[in-house]
Amino acid sequence: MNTVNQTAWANFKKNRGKNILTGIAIVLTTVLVFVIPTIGFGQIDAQMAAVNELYPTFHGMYRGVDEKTVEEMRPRAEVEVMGLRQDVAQIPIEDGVVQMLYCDETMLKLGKTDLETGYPPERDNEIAVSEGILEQLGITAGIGDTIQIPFQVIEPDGLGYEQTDEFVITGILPTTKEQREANSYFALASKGFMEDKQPEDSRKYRVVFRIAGADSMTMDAIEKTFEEMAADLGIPQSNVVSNGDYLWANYVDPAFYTGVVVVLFVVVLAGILTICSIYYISIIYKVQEYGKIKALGATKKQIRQMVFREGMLVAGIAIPIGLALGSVFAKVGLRYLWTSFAGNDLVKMIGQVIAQNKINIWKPWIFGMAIVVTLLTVAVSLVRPMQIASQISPVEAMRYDGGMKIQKKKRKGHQQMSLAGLTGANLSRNKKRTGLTVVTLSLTGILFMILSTILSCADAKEIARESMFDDLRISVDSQRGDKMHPEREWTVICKNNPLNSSLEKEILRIPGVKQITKSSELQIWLKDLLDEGEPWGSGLAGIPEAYASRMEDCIVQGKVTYEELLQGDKVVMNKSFLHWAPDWKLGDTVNMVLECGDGQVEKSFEIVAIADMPEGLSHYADFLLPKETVDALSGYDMDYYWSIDTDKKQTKSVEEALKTILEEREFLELKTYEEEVAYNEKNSGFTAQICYVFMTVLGCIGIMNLVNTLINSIYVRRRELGILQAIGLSEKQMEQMLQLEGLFYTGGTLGLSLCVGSLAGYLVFLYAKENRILGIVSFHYPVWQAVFLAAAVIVIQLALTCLVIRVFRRQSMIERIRFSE
Amino acid sequence: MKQERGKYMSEKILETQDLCKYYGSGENTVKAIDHTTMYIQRGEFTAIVGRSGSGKSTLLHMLGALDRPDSGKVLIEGKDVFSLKDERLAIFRRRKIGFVFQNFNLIPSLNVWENIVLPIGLDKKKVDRDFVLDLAARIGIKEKLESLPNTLSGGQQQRVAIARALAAKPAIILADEPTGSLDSSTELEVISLLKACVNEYGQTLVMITHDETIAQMADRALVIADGKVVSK
Amino acid sequence: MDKGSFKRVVLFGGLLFCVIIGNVVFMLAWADTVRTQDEEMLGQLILMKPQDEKGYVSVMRGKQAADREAAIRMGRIADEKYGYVGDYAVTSPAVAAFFPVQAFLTVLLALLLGVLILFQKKRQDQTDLEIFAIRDSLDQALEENKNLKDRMEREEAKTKALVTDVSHQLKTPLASLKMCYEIADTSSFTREEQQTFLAQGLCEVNKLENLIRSLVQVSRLEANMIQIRREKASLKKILHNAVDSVYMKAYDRGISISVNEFEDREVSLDSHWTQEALVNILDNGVKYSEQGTSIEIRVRPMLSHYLLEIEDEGIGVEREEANRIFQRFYRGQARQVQETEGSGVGLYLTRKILEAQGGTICVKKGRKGSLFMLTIPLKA
Repeated sequence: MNTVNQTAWANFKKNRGKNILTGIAIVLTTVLVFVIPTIGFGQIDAQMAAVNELYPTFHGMYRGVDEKTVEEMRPRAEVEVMGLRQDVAQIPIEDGVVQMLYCDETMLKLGKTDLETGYPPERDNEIAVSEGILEQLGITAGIGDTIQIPFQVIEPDGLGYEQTDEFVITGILPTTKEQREANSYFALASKGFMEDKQPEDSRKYRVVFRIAGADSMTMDAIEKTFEEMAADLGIPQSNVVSNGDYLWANYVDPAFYTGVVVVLFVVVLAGILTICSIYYISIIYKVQEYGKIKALGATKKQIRQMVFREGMLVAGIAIPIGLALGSVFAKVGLRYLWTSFAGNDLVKMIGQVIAQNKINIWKPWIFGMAIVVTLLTVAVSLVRPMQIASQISPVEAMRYDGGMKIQKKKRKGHQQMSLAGLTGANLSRNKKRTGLTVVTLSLTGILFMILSTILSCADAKEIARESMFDDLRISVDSQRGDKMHPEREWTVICKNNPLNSSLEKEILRIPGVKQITKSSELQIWLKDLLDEGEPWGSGLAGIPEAYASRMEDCIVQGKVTYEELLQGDKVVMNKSFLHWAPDWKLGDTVNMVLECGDGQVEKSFEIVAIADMPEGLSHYADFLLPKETVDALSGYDMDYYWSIDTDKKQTKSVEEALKTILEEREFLELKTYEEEVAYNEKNSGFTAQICYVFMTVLGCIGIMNLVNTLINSIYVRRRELGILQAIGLSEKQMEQMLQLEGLFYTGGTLGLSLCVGSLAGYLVFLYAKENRILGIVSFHYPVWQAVFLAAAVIVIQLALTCLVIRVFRRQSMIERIRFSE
Repeated sequence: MKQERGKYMSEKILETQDLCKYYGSGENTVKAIDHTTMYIQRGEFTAIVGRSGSGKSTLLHMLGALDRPDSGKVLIEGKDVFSLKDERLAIFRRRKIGFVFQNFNLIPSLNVWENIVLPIGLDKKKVDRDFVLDLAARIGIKEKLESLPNTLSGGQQQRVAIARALAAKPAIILADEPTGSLDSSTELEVISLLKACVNEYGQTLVMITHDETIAQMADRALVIADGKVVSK
Repeated sequence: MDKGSFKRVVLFGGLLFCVIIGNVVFMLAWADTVRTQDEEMLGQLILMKPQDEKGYVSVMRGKQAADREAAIRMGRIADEKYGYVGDYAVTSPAVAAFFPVQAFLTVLLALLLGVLILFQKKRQDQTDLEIFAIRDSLDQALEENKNLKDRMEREEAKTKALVTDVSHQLKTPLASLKMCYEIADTSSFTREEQQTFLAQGLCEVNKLENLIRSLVQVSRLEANMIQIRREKASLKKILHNAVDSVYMKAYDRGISISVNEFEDREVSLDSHWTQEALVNILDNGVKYSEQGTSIEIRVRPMLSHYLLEIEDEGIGVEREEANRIFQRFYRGQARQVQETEGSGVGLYLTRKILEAQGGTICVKKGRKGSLFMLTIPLKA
C-alpha cells in the first residue's frame, strides 16, 4: 500500500516533463469545463436578475376575483406568493383619470411599485399619492400633511356619487412621463378604506401571483399551471392574464442547455484524447520500469494503482489551478461580453447586473461538477495506460517499444536508401496512426475554418443592405395584439396613417432627399394554418413597382411578373414560410383573412411563386403583392415602410431633419443604415468574440496534442534513432529527417484543414443562408483567416520540432540505444 | 592477400590509451572503464569477455565512438576519434565501423534490403548491388529481402544486422553480445558467419561477450573486470 | 498491537463516538424542533381564531376524542383539494430540516461500517499472505542450507583429488626419468637390468620424438605448407570415412559410434583435411572414453551452415580448459590425458582446418562427456 504510494510519488517527481504537459492539459480541460457552464449559467442568472430588475416579477394575474375565491386560492399548493389589488375609487380630474387603489404588500413588491418616499397607507384615512396627482388637484403638500380629496367609489354598476374625505399623506409615488402624457395616475389607499367603501360582495380583486417551483418549469408549463388553477377556481379564461414580457424574458431555450452539454462533451473528449495520449506515450517510455517492478513481485492491481495514483497526483495539483484560472476567466469574460456590446435595455441591464456583482456566478455545484468531470476525464484517460502497464509481462516489458503493430509482412522497398525514403517508411509504418494524428490535428483547423467562414460571411454591411435598400427608412411603430394599448394596433393606426402625403411633401422638401419608395403591409390571418387552434397570424407585404425586378429576381420556384400579380388573385410566398408550412406548394390556394381598416375581409389567393426575399423587400411578411393591390384590398393607404434615398453626402443632415419632423408625430420610427450596420456588427462581433475565445482554448489543446505527437514520434523511436545514429545517421541528417516528418504533418494538417474546412465552411454557409442564421446572404471566403491558420500551423510545428530536437539532443546516443536494454 | 594480412597483423587498428569513463559521482561513482590501455590488431578476431557490469559494453561504445570518455583516447587507425567534431565523427564512424547489437536493432519500418543498404544510403553512396546480393546469399537471407524485420526469427534478424554492418565494408565490426538473444546452435552459426565474412573481407572483428564458449573461437580474448582489462 | 493499528483503532473509535454523539444531539434537537413546531402551529391556530382556543389546545394535546381515521381522511381530502399532491406534496418542516442530517448520519455510519469490514478483510488477507511468505522463506532457507553443505563437501573432495592428481602426475614421469638415469649410471645393476632401463629411457626419447613430429606438422600448417583445396564434396562421405578410420580402435574398446540420418547437401570442402579434422575429434573421443560407452554424431543443416555435434561419454573437457584445448601443444590436465600419448596438436589442427573453410568449432560440456560443436558452411 505504502510502497505503491511511494512509487507513484517517485514517478510523479521523476517524470516532471510529462507531468507538466499532462498538468497543462488538465488545467486547460478544467478551465473549459468550469468556464463554459459558468458563463452559460451566469448568463442565464444575469438575464434573470436583469429581468427581475426591469419587469414586474409575477407570473400571471387573475382579474375580477371575488373575496371567497381569493381565500380559496391563498392556500393552494401551486401559489408561491400572491398579491391583491382592488380598484376602490376614482378621483375626478380634467381630461384624465386617477385611480385609487388598494394594493397589499406583495402586490407592491411583485408590481415593482416603489414609493419615492414614505410608506404605503395603513390606517383608514391614510393615502399615498404622486406629484402628478397633487398637481392635477392643485394641492401642494408633503408627507404628513392632511389633504382633502374628492372621489367616486367604484360600484358594481359604475361609479358612485362624488364624496370628499380628508387623508393624511404617508408616501409619495413616482410620477412617470407616460403618466403625464396619458394624464392617468394612481394613488394608494389603505385596506381599511377599501373595506369601508366597498362591501365584501362587490369587491373584484386583481390577484397577481408567482407559481411555486417555476424555476424548473418551462414557460408553457407555468402558463398551463395557472390556467388549470383558474379553471379549478372557476375563474373564466378571459380573466387570466399572463405576464408575457416577464415570462418571455425569463425564458431559457432548452436548446441552450443542450448546447452547453454538447460543448462540454467536446471539451471533455478533447481533454481525454490529449491526456490519454500523453499518458499513453509516457507509459511506453516507462513500460520497462513497470516490467521490472512487476518482476519484483508487484501485482497487476498494484501497477494499476501506481499509474492511477501518479495521474491523480497530477490532477490534484492541476485541477485547483484550473479552477482558480477558470474563476477569473469566467468573471472577466462574462463582464467583458456584456459590457462591451451595448444593446437594448435588457442587455444594458444585464451588463449592469454583472458589473455590480449582483449575481454570484461562482456556483458551488459548478465547482463540484468541474472537479468531478475533470477527475473522471483523467480517470478515463488513465484506463488504457493502466491496462498496458499492468498487462505487460516482465519479459515483454524489456522489449516493449510502443506496441507498433505492423500489419503487413512485406514491403516493396527502395533499391537505394535516402533520408526521404527513410522518412517515408517511418510515416507509412503505421498509416492508420499517422492518418489519425493528422486528422486529430486537423480537427481544430477545420473547426476554425468553419467558424471563420461563417464569421466572414456575416458581413455587417451586406446584411444591413439586405434589409435596407436605402440609407434611411421610416416605418410605422405599431404593436400587434397588445391588449393594454389597442390604439397601437396597425388596424387602428392605418385609418389615420401618419405616413401621409403631407409628411411626404415635408420630407421631399428636405435638401438631399432624392426619392421615397413606399411599401405597404397588411396583417392577415391564415385560416388553413392553425397555431394552437387559432388561425396563424401573418403579414402581407405590398411592394412598389420600383421593386418589381428585385422581386422577380429572387423567385426560386414558379414564375410571375409584377403585372400578373396586379390581377389580385395571385400571391408570392416567402420561402422562409416553408419552415412553418412545409407542405405548401405552388398552385395551392391560400385562404386569408385580411385585417383591413374597416374590419376583416376574407380572400383567397393562388400561390404562383415562392421567392427567397431579402428583408428589405418582404419586411418579414410571409406573402407579397403589389402595393396597389394591397391598398385596394384594404381601402386605405397601407403605407408601412418608406425607404428614403438620399444624396450620400447629405445623409446625415437628412437624418437630423427627419428626426425633428418625427418628434412631432406619433407612431413612427426612423431607422438608419448605419444603425443597422452597427447592430449587425455588434451582433456578429459578439458571436465572433465567443467563437474565437473558444477556438483559442481548443487551439491550445490542439497544440498540446501536437507537442505530444512530436514528442511521441521521437521518444517512442528513441532507440531506433540511436541505432540510426550508430549506423551512420549524423545529427544534421536526423534533424532533417525529423523536420521532414514535421513537414509532412504540417502539410497534411494544413491540407486537410483548408480543404475540409473550406468545404465544410461552405456547407455550413449554405445551411446558414437557408436558415437565415446571422442574416448571412452571400459567401465570402475567409482568406485572411486561412492565411493565419497556415502561418500558425507552420510556425508552431516548425518551432515545436526544433524545440523537441533540442531537448532530444541533450541525451547521449548511448542512453538512446540502451533505452530497451 | 595473405602477404597483406601478414603485414597488417602487426598494425594496431584500434587502440585505447588510459581510457576512463565514470558514472555517477561521490560515493556512488561507478568506474565503468578505469584507466584501460589496450589495442586490437588488424584482421584479428578479438573477444572481450566479462561479466555483466564489468564495463565491457561501455568499452565497446567508446571503441565505436558512440560515447565520449571522461579522459583518455581512442585511436582508430591512429586517429584520435574524439578530437573530431560531432558531425565529422558521425561520418568517420559510419565509414570505419559497423555495429552489430544484441537486440538486432533493425528499423522496423524498413524491409530487409532497405535495412541492409541504409548505412550506404546515409553515407550518400551508391549501393553495390552485386556485393550486397552476394552477401545476402552467403548469409542465408536472400529469400527474405522484401520481408519486414519483425516477421523474421531472431537468427534471421541477426543475420540482417550482420549484413547491415558488413554492407558498407567498414574496416572494423563491433559486435555487442551479438548472440545474446539466440539459441546456442544459431549462435554458433551466426558467429561462424561473422568470422568467415570478416576473414574474407579482411575486416577486424571485436566482439563483446560474457560467454566463454564464444571466446574459444576468437583469435584473442581480453578479459575485462571492474573496468580494467585484466588478462589477454 | 503495533503503533499503526493502534492509531487506526483510535481513529475508528473516535469517529464512531462522534457519530453516536452526533446522533444523540441530533435526536434531541429534532425532538425540540418538533415540539416548537407544534407550539407554533397551536399559536397560529389560536391567533387565527382566538375564540376556538380551547378546541385547538385539546386537539393539539390529544384531548380530542374524535375518530383518528376520520381525522386523517379529512386531512387528506383537504390536501387534495388545495393541490398539495404530486409535485406539490409537502413534508413537515421539522422532517425536511432534519432529513439531510439523518441521511448524512446514515451514510456516515454505513461508510464507517464498510470501512471496518473492508479493513478487517484486508487484514485477514494480509495475515494469510504473511503466513504464506514466512513459510516460504523458511523452506527456502532450509534448501539453501542444504545446498551449501553439499557444495562444500563436493568442493572439498574435488580439491583433495586435484591435489593428489597433480602431485601424482608430477611425481611419476620425474621419478621414472630420474631413475633411468640413476640406474644407467650405477654399476650395482646387471647389464641386462641396465639395458632395460636404457630401453625405458629410449621409450621416453621416442615420446619426445613423437612430440617433435607433431611440432613439424603444426609448423607446416602455420607456414601454409598444407594447402586446403575446396571442391565439391559430400559431408556424408567425409564423415563416413572419418568414422571408418577410428572404427577399429573404437571397436577394440567397445565404444559405439552413431551418426544420425541427415540430408546430404552439396558442400565445398577439402575432403582430406576435413576428414583429418573430424578424425582428430573422434580419436580424442575414443581415447578418453571408458569401455562400453558411445559416441554420438548429430548433423543438422541450418540456414547457412551444417551444425555437427560430436558428443562422447568420456572424460569431458573442464570449463577452464575449454579455451585452451584448441591452442598449440596444450594438453589436458586430466589423468587420462596425461597417461595417454599425444602431442597436443590435434584439436589445434582441427580448428585451423575448419576456420580455413569458413567453419568454426567449440567445445561444451555434454551430457556425460564433452560436446564438440562444429559448423561447416553449406554451399552459398
